[in-house]
Amino acid sequence: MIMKLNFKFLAVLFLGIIVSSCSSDDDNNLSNGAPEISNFEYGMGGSDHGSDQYAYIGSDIHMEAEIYAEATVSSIAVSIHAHDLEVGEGEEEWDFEQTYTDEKYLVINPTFHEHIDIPTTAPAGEYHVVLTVTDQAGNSTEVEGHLDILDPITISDVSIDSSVARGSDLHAEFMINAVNGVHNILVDIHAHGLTLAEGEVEWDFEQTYEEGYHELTEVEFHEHIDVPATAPAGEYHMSITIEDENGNTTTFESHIDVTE
Amino acid sequence: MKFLLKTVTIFLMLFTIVSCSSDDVEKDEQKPTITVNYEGGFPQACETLKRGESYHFKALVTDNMALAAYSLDLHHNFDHHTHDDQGADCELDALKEAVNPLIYMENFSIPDGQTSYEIDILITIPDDVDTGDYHCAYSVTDQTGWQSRTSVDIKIVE
Repeated sequence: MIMKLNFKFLAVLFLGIIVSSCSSDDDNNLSNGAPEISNFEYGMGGSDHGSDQYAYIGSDIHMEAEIYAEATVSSIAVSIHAHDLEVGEGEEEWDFEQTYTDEKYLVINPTFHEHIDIPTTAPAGEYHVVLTVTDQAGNSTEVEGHLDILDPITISDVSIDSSVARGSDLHAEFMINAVNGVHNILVDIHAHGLTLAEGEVEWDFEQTYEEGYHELTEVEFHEHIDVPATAPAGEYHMSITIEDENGNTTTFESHIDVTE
Repeated sequence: MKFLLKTVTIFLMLFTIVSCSSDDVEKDEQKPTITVNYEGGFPQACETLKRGESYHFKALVTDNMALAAYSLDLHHNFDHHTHDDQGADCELDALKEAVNPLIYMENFSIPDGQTSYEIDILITIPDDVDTGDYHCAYSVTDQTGWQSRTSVDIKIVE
């Protein structure tokens, strides 16, 4: 009987020792958890290189993050996508997915640093950025954020005469913001199928403006365009194309009634 | 009964020891070190390299336990991005677009679990690469997987 008690007592005691002696192991397992991501920044590439969360179409997104993965990184994945952005003419939905397994990243404490090109056909708008780090034990951690993809050329405060009498001038005015600088502005005015009365001459206007605009990043377009007295009256179509120093273009259109 | 008790006790003791043996392994908490700041270290901050010339890229690496691998990455800095950690402000050329920049990225392994090693990579700067500002980035990894990096601003000239 006494023997039996001792046996039970000893068994319990040893079990206790086993449990307590291994508790530090468990702590280690706890801290050996998912990878940690800190100082995640992304945005304008180039000299700014800051954490501004915007970038321009046709340029690149700088992305950087400090990673700590006790079990060693096995892959780093980047996803950039938008939800329900309107895809305009000449644009294509941009959905970026890439997994990086470069040797330099497959360590405990890598710094992730990549430059991701934004295609010139990507629609402007708000995008969602997700960075996923997976370690060799299969744990993964995700950080996410929003990125504004901006058009490098924007037009505002447009004021163009909608009606003009022939023989006078057409007033056109608008504000241009071009982060890369304006290269030139092409104005095209033409009509379709207007019948020429006697003494009238078809009016097809095309002119490139450069002086006073070239290389400026913020400039007001302000021109007066002479409408010849011989132009047939009717509805004309006006298209204005702004090209920046990097070759990006933006076009907007307007209608003008030329009156007698 | 007594025999059984002894057996169980010994078994449990063994079990205790075995179950905790992994505790005894020393955990590596230390990153390796890497530096070009010694006599012979190359390139130094703001160093100018000539096209067509050959250079020995040298850095010293150490680790408390065992080194595993290192890499050298040369890439242009025509857009003035920064990751120099030498504390020196080198004079940068104007921003420009890359046409045919020098790009060098190689990984090497360090054999035999050495704890110190001198990196020595011979590189010839091709005659036709873009001149201008470049970054020279070294990294070193130990066998546990810790990495250390150092980056130096350099310039390639005619």
